Amino acid sequence: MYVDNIKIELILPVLVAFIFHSCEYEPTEVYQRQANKYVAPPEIQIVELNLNNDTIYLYSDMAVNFRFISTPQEIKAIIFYIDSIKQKTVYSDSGIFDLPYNDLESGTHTLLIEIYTASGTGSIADHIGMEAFIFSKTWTIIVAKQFSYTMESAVYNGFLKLSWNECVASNFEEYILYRCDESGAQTEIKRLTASEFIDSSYVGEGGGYAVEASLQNGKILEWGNIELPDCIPDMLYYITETNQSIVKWQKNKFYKAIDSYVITQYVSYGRIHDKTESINGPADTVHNIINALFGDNVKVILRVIPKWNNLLYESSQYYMFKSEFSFIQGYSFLCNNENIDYRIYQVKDDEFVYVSNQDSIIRYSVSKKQVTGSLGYVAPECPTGFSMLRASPSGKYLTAYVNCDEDVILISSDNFDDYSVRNLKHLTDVYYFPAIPISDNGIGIINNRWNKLYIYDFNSDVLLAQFNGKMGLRISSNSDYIFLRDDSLRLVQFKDSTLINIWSESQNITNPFYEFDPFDTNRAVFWDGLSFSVRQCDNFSIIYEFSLPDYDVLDINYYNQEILTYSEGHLYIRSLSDGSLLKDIPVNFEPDNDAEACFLIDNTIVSAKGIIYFLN
Amino acid sequence: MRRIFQIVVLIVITVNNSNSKDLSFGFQTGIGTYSMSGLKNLNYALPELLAFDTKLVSNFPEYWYYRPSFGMKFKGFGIGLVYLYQSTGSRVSAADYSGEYRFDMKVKSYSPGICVDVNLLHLYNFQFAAYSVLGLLSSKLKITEYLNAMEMELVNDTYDFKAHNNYFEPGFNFVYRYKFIGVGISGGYLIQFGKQEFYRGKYQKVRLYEFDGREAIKPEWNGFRFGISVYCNLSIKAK
Repeated sequence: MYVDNIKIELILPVLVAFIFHSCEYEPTEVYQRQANKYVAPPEIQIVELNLNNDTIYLYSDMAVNFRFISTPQEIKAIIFYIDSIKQKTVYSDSGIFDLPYNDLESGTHTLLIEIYTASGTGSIADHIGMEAFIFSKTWTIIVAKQFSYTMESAVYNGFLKLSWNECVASNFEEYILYRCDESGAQTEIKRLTASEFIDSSYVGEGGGYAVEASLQNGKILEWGNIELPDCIPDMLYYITETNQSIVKWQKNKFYKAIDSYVITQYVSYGRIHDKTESINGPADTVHNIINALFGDNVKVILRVIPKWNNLLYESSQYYMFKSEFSFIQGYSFLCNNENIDYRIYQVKDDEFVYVSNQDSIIRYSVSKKQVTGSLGYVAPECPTGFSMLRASPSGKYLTAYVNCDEDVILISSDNFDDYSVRNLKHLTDVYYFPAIPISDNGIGIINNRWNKLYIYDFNSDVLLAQFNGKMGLRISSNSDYIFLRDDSLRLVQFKDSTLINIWSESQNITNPFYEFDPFDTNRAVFWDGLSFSVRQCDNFSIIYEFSLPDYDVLDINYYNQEILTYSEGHLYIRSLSDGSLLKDIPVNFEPDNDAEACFLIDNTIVSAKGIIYFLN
Repeated sequence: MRRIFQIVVLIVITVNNSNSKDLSFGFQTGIGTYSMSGLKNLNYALPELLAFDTKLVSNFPEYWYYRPSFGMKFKGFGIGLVYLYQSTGSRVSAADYSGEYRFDMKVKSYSPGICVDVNLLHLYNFQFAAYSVLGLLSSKLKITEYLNAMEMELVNDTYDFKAHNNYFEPGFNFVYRYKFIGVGISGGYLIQFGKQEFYRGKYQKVRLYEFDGREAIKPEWNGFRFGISVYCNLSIKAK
């Protein structure tokens, strides 16, 4: 071959080179592995899973602790979904998944747990997790964001029973119960899982309880509280017509928790205090008042002693276990918070009147022990009360001042609707309000500030007479006689618009007692401090007389013909006929004091302190 | 490269200035053995990293090489240019009903070189000569990892690496010549020299390391080369 062939010879190797480049080594062998496509599914065992119910109530974050066993195929992964959104993948057979309370809206959600196990085929897909058995379960999650908590109390077999809503949180652990004192300080008393508790130590002292729900994740939920009213029994005071007095209380609702009652009684009069203490059993409901006299101030303190350990029962908080009751020994004819003007007037044999709370006149029957009438006078422009109440000798008429202008009212005691109001300031002068004694026939005596005496007929509203330099004190039932004072204490007869002197006493007698007999128009009584006499009015002669050396004559009951007198430490009931002592009632107060004045009405002593003493 | 170019130029000048010479075109192919110990280590370590069992079904076996040549024959010796193309590869494989995994490595080289042979014995039409080749080894490695499971192609990644080294191959060949055709057998041993590891990227910053990350891997074409050759000799007479 020569040069001419060179082109062909050169091209050939190049072509060969291209060809053998296509002969590059290429691996082709494939290794076929052994894999069993058909295997039975595994058995899944739940070793630990704190989702005990199909519905999970979520009150806070909750840790779901889980551990599964799968045989023979192992667990490859566990996936948690909430509302179909993947939350967490665990490549293990155990772990913790947090249910995110804060991330979930209030309401119902769905929790799905999928367990992926190996397929067990041994295939490539099995080994890389592309082939698996899947087991799944769904729970309903109810997320509670707004939940109300309540706590209730009840009496159960003599004990306090507390109950509250059950906490259905799936990670609930226990309730923590607290006792709260009045300042709000809490002391743990119990941990429990039940939603009720019987507190055998509670005796009705009040205070509060609070309960918290403790969750397994350590979260504490305020679960309820209750403020209990003070149930230490209130005492009521009773006095019999034999003047035996007791305080009584209702049986304590929590009687089984009570060991005893300590009753402390204080009797005080002036600066003297008498203290007695007694212990009563839990079933007792009565305490006899002892060593208390009519009119004494009595305070009874009832303290409940718990039978079992009560956290609040310590000296600084004894007040919670106490019930106090204060009263004046005697039968009270007043209502609660009722104030009485110190003047009391007998208007019938068993009835008296008084001004109550300055705005009404009350008629009270001691035999019926009840109010038999009342008059509240409402002034057109300003509510003003009654003042300077006076009664006629028999009590038929009453006079008082009413209105802003201090008009004079005349009231028939038999019928409070029968009254009349008049302006008498042209007689009394303005800003001067003297008491107006009145007779049983409607004739009154009015004194003005210039020591002028007017005789005024309230029936006809006619001024009958006027006298200078005299001050009228009493007027007889038929208005014929008047006790007055000028230079002396006098008994005068009012006749034909003139005053006829019958008797006078220029000597200054200390605290004399004189008044007209309401039923015998010609009789009057007079006590000069030593001698008590019943006299004829027309000449002031003594009908009879007896010695009466008591400290003061307080009142005369003409119905019963009895006199009420006072000597230091004693009220005496004496016979009006001879002064003989009928009854001796020891007292510690001073009834000659207007505020503690006593009156003899029916068979009782009525005190301006608002109490009645029964004489029978 | 510059030196190789200079040598090629020298050979061409020599051929052109020669008064009496034979031009020889040849093509040799045969089986080469390839060390590739670094790449083999990758194959050995790979199963440890996989979740399923695999098998190394091919691990850089002996494989055909191809070597065209062009040279001039002088009295007693010859000089020429050769181009060596060789390739081999490996596969880590696993397959079952659920899918298939393959980790293929294919490596090849493009290797121009200069060949010098010296006649040792010439008897009748038989010629026994020693030869040596000095050349460049430009290697290319292609790694393909493929994973398919449950009819889903999960992995199908390919990485290409390059490396440039040199080689020297001494050997013997035995040729029977008849007219202008020659047929021969040869045997030699390729010795790779040069330190360049497989790399990727423009600045050779990404290198191929063994899985333990300790040592970069370089191509290792070392091995025997046994081949058969066909030659065509052309006589060029000076005018």
